[in-house]
Amino acid sequence: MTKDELWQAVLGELELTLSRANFITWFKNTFIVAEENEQIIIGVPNLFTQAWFEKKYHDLIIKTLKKITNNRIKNIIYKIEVYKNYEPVLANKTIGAINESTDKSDFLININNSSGLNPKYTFEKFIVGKNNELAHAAAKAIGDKPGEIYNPLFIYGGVGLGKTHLLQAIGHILLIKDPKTKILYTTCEKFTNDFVQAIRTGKTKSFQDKYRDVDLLIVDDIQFMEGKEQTQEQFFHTFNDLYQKNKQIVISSDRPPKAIPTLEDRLRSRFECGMIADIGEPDLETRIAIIGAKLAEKNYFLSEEIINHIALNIQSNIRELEGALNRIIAHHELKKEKPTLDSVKLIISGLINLPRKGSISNKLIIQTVSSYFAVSINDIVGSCRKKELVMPRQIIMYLMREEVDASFPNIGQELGGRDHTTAMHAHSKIKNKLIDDDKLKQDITLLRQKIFNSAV
Amino acid sequence: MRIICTQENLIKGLNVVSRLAGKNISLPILNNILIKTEGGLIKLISTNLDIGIKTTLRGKVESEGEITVGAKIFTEYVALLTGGNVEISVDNNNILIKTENQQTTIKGQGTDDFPVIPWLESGNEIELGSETLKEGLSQVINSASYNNVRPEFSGILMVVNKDNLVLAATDSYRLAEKNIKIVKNNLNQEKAYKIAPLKALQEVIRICGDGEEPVKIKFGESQIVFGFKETTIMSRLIEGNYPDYKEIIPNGWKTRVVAEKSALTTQIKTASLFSRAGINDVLLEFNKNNNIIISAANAQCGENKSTVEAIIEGENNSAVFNYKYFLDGLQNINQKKIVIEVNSSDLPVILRPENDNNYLYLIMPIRR
Repeated sequence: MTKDELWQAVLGELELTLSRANFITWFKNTFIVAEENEQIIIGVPNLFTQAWFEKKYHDLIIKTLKKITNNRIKNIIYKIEVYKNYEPVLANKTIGAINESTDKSDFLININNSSGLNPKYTFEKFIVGKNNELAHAAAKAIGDKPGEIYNPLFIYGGVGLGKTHLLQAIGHILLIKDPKTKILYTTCEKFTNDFVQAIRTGKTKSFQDKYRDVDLLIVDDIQFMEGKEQTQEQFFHTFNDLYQKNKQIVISSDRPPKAIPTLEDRLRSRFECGMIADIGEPDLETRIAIIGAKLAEKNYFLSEEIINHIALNIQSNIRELEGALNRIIAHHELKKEKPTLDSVKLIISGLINLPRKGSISNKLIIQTVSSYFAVSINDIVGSCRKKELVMPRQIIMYLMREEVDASFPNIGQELGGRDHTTAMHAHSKIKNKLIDDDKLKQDITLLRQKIFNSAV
Repeated sequence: MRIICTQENLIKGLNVVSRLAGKNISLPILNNILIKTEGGLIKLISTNLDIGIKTTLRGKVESEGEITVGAKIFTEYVALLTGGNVEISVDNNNILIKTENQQTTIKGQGTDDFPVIPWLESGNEIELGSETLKEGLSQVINSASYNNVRPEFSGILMVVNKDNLVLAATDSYRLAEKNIKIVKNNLNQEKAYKIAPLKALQEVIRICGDGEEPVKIKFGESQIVFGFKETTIMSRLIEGNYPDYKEIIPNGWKTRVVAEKSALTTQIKTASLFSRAGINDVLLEFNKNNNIIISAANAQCGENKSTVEAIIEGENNSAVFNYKYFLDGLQNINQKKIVIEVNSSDLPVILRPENDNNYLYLIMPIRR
């Protein structure tokens, strides 16, 4: 029996005899430090627990220990010690961490709010894989020669794949090279708000100063400019002005410029004149590397097979990946258990099955798809077989099958009483088409995102 | 148990201990106050398992005993009494409270489950005046950090030297340091270096009297005890190493400003209305022609500029500050004239009282 097992056995017995409140309050973070010649040292988190154990629970604990160890233990000493999980992994890192904090005087921070960059997002922390090689290389190149090679840089990709990270990393590297570089990171929404504000207060001049007097302008999520004509025009002028002065512009979006329907042509053509790079979903190896990096950051250890399991099961989204990791770590730290493949499997299965099925309804899919293709729901469920209607209809059937797990007869029923073979045909047709039709792939990805977002 | 005391004394005692009791869900008995008699004295005790407080209640003990009672109901009830003597007796975990015109029974709870508070007995202690301690703590406490990312920042560093006690606090954006004289030093080591939690020190400030009543501070391996005449506060200490903050205090200055505290405070408050939300930036420019120009501008509501007269030596200089940090610093200095020492717009700036080297407040400017 190891120390930990022995203590778990003792706790198991004590839990039965004590009230739950008492048990949790007093036995949280206790453990056996060492055992030597019939004497055991029990680590307790604070003085209160020490005093309480000595005065109140001593007899109980020693009786239980004797029973479990067949009278091997004769004496107990209580000592205040910090409970550390998995010492071998953590030991040297904790020491490193302490040194870091006491090390130097740089603990006082100049607050640097003007650029709006998050210090977390640097190139060092960006994991490069096949999916983002191009975008990463382009961003790096801009870090070396801003405004000269790729201007503007347009990065697009799905939710949670690292667009913002890459965008801000460019800002950071330029700041490191020359702290005086004027960098402005803004989201499309903030740009719009500032613009509206400027018009209302009649201070368009200061708005122009803010956005035009910079060396690097980063605009995140430009797709939200869709449909806002005035803002688009203002952005067009800002863009031209910066471009003329050879200032770097970096833009991100969730789809390529071509796929943003109501973007004005003059803006679209400008976005396309620089460099367009996409960030795709990370492949397995990249996901494993990402998990490794996140673990190092969080100072936590997971075995290789666990990492593989997580990477295999959470495929699309890095943010989700990090969420799953946080959940796994929190779960095991609270319970003070070592993570095993089984316990992780349990958590992961809870995570991936949680938000999707159930909260997404057939109705939601029909609504989202028909509004995406700008056709009316009545036409979609109707009997007309125009080309503009057939495709969306088939996509709906495909999505219903994939996301809701609906039966084919049911799908047919939902779409105006069609036959189940129609649904089967549609499903297999889209599935086959997806293999080599990039436009369709893009559409489906976007539709999925929209559906998930409105389902949550 | 049977005790008699005046309502006034009872309220005073309950005010000292009742703040700690309450809001503990995992161990309900911590919401209670322990009332017990100890060698003819009445003690009120409460704890939250980080801090423990005990105070002596002036009154008469008719028979010994002990009981715990819910802090909230007991305190609220006693506060509503109309004065006069209160008689408290215990009958089978019920507390009977009798006054001239009232009789009440409050349900109590046995003392078996009430935690043992590890008061320190050792003589490793220093003594100083309670008003001095209160003033010193109040001058640094608002610089400590409330979040627990760096646990050592959620406490105040206490360094005991031969005849002085240094208090320091920082949240990594500003730092305050205060030097206090010790009246008596009975430390059995040459130097003590401890970090005491913010929450415990807030209680200490609250209990510190105005007079020069002496306070004893005892240092243990992992706990600290503040002993007042009637009240004792015990707290755990924060483990960890405090960063070597002395290194970042600049040695000299390029610009030295002496200004009126009240004028400066008013103008910074005015400018703060126009600072940008979330950044709280206010620009201070120090000119050789002896004035400080304070300004702030915000695209949404407008801008403001004002001038404060000052005596300025050295170069022209300027820096942007978070006005909250600057005002905290001004508020901490209890003198009419403030000295500001500036080096450049991104090096730490120091505020201190004129002609007093025992206090300094350091702010990091906002980088432009």
